[in-house]
Amino acid sequence: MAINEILETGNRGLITNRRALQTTSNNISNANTPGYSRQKSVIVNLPPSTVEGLTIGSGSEVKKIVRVHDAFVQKQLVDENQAFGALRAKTENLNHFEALVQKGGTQINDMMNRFFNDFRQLSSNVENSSLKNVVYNSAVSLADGFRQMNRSLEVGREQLDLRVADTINQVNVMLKEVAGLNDTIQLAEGRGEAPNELYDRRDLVLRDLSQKINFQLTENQMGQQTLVCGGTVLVQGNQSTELEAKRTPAQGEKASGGMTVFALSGGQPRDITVGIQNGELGGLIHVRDKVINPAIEHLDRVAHSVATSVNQVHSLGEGGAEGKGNLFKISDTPAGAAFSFEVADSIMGNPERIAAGFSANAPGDNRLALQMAELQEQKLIPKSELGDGVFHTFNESMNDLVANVGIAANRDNQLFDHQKSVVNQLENYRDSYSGVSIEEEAVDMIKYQTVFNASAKAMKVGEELLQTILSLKN
Amino acid sequence: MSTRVSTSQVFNNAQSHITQARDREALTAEKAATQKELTRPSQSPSEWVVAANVKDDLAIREGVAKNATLATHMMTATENLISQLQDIVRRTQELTIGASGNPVDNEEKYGFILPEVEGLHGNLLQALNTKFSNRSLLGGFKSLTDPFDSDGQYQGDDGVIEIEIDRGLKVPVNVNAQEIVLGVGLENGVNIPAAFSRLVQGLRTKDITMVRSTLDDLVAATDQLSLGRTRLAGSMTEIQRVLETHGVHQEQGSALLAKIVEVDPIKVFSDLARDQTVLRAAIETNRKVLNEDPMGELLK
Repeated sequence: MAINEILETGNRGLITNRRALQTTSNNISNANTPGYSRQKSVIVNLPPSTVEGLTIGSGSEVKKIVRVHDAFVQKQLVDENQAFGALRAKTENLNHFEALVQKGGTQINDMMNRFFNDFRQLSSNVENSSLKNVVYNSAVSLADGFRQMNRSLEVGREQLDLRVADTINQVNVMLKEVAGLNDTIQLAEGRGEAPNELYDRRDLVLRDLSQKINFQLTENQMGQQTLVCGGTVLVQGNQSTELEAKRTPAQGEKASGGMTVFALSGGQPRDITVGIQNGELGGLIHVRDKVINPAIEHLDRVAHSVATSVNQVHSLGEGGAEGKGNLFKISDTPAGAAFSFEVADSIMGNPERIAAGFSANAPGDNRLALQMAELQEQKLIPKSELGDGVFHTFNESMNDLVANVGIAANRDNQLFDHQKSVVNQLENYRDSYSGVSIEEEAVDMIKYQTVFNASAKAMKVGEELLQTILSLKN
Repeated sequence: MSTRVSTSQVFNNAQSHITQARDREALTAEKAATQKELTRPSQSPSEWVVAANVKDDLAIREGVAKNATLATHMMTATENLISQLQDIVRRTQELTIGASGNPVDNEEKYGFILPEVEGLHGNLLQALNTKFSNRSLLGGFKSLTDPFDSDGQYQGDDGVIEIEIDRGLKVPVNVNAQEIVLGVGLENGVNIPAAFSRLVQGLRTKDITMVRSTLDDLVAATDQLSLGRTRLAGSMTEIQRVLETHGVHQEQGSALLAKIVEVDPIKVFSDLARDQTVLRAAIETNRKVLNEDPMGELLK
């Protein structure tokens, strides 16, 4: 009967607008949920019916609920977040190391100035034995300074490695989650559902993951996403690869004992460190291998050069080979020189054995002390290992060491500021497009509520018509 | 074209604006508190390297300047010693001239001159063993013992003590006693203590020939000692020049360091006032935006 159709159409209006109101309410409730994409009800009119040659509509229904989402922006965010994550890790750690290196480098320079100035003072009054005590104390302080700075840098490097291991753990959790979401989404789609919340969750996890590690992302027709990092598959379908950080011997720019990242797939661990170029992991590895390790090597070169140059002069003092010998104890090669830098055993506790002249029984002979002081102004350390013929003094080389870390920090700070703007802009765009606007939802609520009320009224009218017809029989 | 603004954007932007204004104010406040523009190498690596190198240069110059001052004192003491020796030689010369005259008067004259010449001889030996700051001025590297024994024999060596008075510049601060006192290596050089010994011997034995033979030696001795003073004067002039240059370098270095590292106090306090104003404006503006209630207004 046609009146039933009035009731039925009104009922469909109620259901449609109730569902739309539910969606609006869900949007409002999730306005602050990270990664949430607002949802829209797609309302369509139902197929009309033909009655006595007339085509009459039969109401509306919510065909589907879609999330408002820009896949291109998501892809851009995943790509840009990789550089952002790397730069953030670099700037945070470089700013910390810069402070360490600046403090240590300035201290060592001050101690070198004191050491050589004390030899200058000794040269002007070699007969004064208390000045040898002063030189001795300066030598001990200088050795302490080198060892302390070396220790600070090595402790800092160790902390970076611990952060690498910690980040790997976080990455593993996220990879597992992505694989799990792939599986759940596939099952839901198989049932004909549109799991918008799962899509949002997966997008959010991928954006967070991209800040941790770099990867290429592809999606197949089934909506399954595959993540590949440096040729290694991290996630494919519902399977994820576990990553592991292990300490290994020296390799390339990596020092012995540093962490290497392995992918555990097919039972055989595979070194994927070289492929990790971005993300927080890439940033940490970069700072460790390209800034801290070179700084430690540079410090070793300075320490070795200072000690061997001083020893070359000192061992000629007051009697030659039977005289005072070396002033400092140091490793044979630059590697580990700062760690092993100490006052020589024969001098330790015996400041009177510090030589000031070349002749025995000549208390006024100050030539060794003069030559020692002159070492400070000689350009003895190559500027770089490239052998470009440029040499530095000890002080200049230490200043160079500190400046190199400063240059790296300066460059990465600027790049980070720029990248932060890029990511902020993309996130703003994403928010602008997919985020919930309370004002819009409020208007939608009014809209759907109005139609809901109107549908209810239409049903009431239909009911009255029915009552009227029924009362006619009576 | 209008841009859609989501609710979370409103809050995120408010947070971002306030955080940025806060960060900027904190940075300026740190500069105002420390009065330092350049606190880390990353702020300006090239300027930091220049400042660090200037600082090291000033430290080296300070050490070298102390030596230059000490060298001046030592050379002044040596110059005074040579002057004293010259006075002794001059007086002895006068007495010798007197003793070299008519042999008939000499016997009596020698009796008067001898004690004084013996005294001058003793003064000479004493002066030759003068110490400055506990080290002998004429002993070369053997500076802790007397360079001349009671017979005027030299016990020192030919060591030249140099002191660094400027970067890469050393000057001798002692004289070579073998040259200036003993005449070794000099054309017509004279052994001054030996000449005095001969004079005393001549006066004691009333040997006029021996007395007369010392006259030329005493004349040469005066010239010999003048040579030592001339050399010292040259070094002292050099030191004086260097000390003046040190002062200029210190001043210029300190000024350059201040220019690079320190803030312009007027600018930094002006910047601080500006950043604090911006922060207040950001807070006030966002307070108004955040306190809006669109739902409440629309659904009244």
